[in-house]
Amino acid sequence: MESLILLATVMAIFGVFGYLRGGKSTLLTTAIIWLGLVLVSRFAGVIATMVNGINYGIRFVLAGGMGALGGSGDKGDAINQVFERMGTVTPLIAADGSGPGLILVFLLLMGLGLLLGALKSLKSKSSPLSLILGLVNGYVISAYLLRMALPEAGILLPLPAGLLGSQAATVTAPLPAGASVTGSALAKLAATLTGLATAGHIAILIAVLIAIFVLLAVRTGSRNSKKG
Amino acid sequence: MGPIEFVFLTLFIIFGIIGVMRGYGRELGVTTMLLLALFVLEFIDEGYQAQLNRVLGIFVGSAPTALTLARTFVYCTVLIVVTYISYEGETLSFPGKRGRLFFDLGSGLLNGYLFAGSLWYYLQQANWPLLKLSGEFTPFHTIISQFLPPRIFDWKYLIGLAVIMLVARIWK
Repeated sequence: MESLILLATVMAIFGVFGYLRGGKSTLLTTAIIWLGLVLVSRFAGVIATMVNGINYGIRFVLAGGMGALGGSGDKGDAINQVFERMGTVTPLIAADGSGPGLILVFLLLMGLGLLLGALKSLKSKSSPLSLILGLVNGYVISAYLLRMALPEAGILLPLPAGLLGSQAATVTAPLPAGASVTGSALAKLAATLTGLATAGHIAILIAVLIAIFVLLAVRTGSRNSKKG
Repeated sequence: MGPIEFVFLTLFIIFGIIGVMRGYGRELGVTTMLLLALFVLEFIDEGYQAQLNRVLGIFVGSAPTALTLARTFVYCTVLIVVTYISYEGETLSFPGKRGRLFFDLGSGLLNGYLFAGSLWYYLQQANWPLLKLSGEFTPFHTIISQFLPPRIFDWKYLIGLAVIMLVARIWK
């Protein structure tokens, strides 16, 4: 339940952002978010190597590695002393991509997308499309974060297989075990409705309901415009 | 685990929100366009599927699976393009402004039903080409699947409803 509330909240926030910022800005944010997802899911190993390498390099420099390389005397000894000072450097991202490292990379890319989307030159008119794009962004972000950060939440929201590769959703919805009362009642309801649908009664009923709704809406609108 | 119907129900709700934001006068214009688009698709699917398959066969070959997938791609693309144009451009609008929640929300949800329900139906027909599905579907999915627009309405219903919409538009 908490996961669904999180999903709805994130979708609502991104939907409103999208609507306020307009189509161009939201489209750029969408592109960066989707690109980020492809990167962290399909190229996790490459990203892990790069980030861990950069982290190791920074630690090396901070421990006096540049001085050891450029100084006079026995460079081998100096470098060995630097390595001793560095101690064991824990990789920021595990080789298999597990842990919070990749999530942080994704969040950074998401932040970059939002920052670039906030550029004044990209500000455009609000439109329903930008609202939809914003909602889609919220959905994709929530789906990914729920999957990676809260796997125990038990909600695996579907994401396009092309986007995530091997991490793609295996959308499952098992039937309840055993012949419960609810299950059999639902089965009976399904059978009855299927019968009605096959006979065409449902089509007539829904078509009539749509027609009545439209006529009521239009007559209400006409009356209001005459009064105005 | 997440049921696939959740995606379409989310889409359905999003259309409801859009309806409340835009007002039913503009939403009913989109409904008319969606009904006409669905009429064309259903008319072709029922009467001219063989001819469509011949044309698509030039691009994807004659394997039944490839043809079903190509038909689904065409139908979904047409629906998405028509919906996009209907929402973005200067399009048909009906008398009535936003502010009446019942009609605003109702017309938005109606559009959501026509759009998301049709995409659901066409993707299901092609065995869900964009997602890897596994496991059994829920009873809820089974029930809702019986009520998707292209499943229950043949082209005669769709053109009938579209005509009612157009008559309602010009009725003073």
